[in-house]
Amino acid sequence: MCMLTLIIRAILVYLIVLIVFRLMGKRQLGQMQPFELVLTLIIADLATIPMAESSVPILHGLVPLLTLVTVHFFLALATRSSNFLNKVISGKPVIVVNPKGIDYQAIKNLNISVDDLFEAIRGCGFFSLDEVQYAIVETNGTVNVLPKKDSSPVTVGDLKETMPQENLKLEKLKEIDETTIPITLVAEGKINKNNLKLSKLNESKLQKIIKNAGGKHVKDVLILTIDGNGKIYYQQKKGTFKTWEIDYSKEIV
Amino acid sequence: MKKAIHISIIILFLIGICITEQILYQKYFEETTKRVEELRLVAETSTDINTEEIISRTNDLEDYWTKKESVLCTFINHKEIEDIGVEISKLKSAIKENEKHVFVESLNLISFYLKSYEHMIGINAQNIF
Repeated sequence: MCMLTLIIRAILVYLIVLIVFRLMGKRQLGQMQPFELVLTLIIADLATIPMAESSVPILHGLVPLLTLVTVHFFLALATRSSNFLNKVISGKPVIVVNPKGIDYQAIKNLNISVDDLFEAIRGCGFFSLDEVQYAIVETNGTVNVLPKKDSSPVTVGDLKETMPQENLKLEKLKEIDETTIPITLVAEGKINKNNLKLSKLNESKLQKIIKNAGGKHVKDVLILTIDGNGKIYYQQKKGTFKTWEIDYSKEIV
Repeated sequence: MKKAIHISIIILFLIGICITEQILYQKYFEETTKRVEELRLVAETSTDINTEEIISRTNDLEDYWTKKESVLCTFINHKEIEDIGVEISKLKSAIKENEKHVFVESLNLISFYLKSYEHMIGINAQNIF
């Protein structure tokens, strides 16, 4: 087979792989879910077969590639529509550092060492565990850190509270509530029952919160989170977000 | 929605490929097998294989296979079906040398290759695992 044929085949395979990756979405390697990473590795391997072996028809590479894209589409659809499947396929975020310190059992289960954890936390800009309120290993393997209030950067919201006009009242900083992790109660129209239990709310209370926000059905909600201070972040599928606070002590069951 | 359309097109394409492949395999392999069997019948009944009829049937078989092989190569690894072409060429040299046993042996091999490819192409547990 002449070199020109090989060149044309290489270009064709490249274009096919490019289309396949475009169909998969824009996630980068670090943001991939486990099944997406597996798919990427297989695609890379499949693409080389018709490119390197001139006796193999391009269809032998194309058909498995397109089959995998289709399977990926349905798998992604399934994980979006079912929390259970999402947990089975992608896993769930794991809190590895909590206010009590490192959760050793959690990092053991994740098969990561303390050194790896420190490295990831340093990567987030925190060099001491003292500064960390929570660290979470996300399903794609990245670590996100919620700093303690003393280590949190000052936000405009903090300044508004502490600097009425002329004096910066540093004492008021102490009055800012302890930071807590917001938990997702509803995502893409589906109630996360575990988180609802964790938040000590029930479905009727949740329905009340949605009604107060101007919503009608849970299925219309894109995201609803609540933190330990009762701060709610709410957004409908077609609409802008709202945040407000509820009296958490009164609302909990 | 856009993605769903793309995926639907891909699924249709995959279904189309599978159906086309099966139809072509069946059609071409059946026709080739039929021609080979007819050639074998003629060869076995005559003592001399260097006859007009056998030469013309062999040329027809060669022409048919050459044309269809290029289509089949879109679906099958070229190396897997090149043996049939080689055996058809051997038929012609056997006619020139008037070697009946070589001629029949090549016909047997062609039949064997066709059968084994048919088995390879079929959807069965053996091929899947």
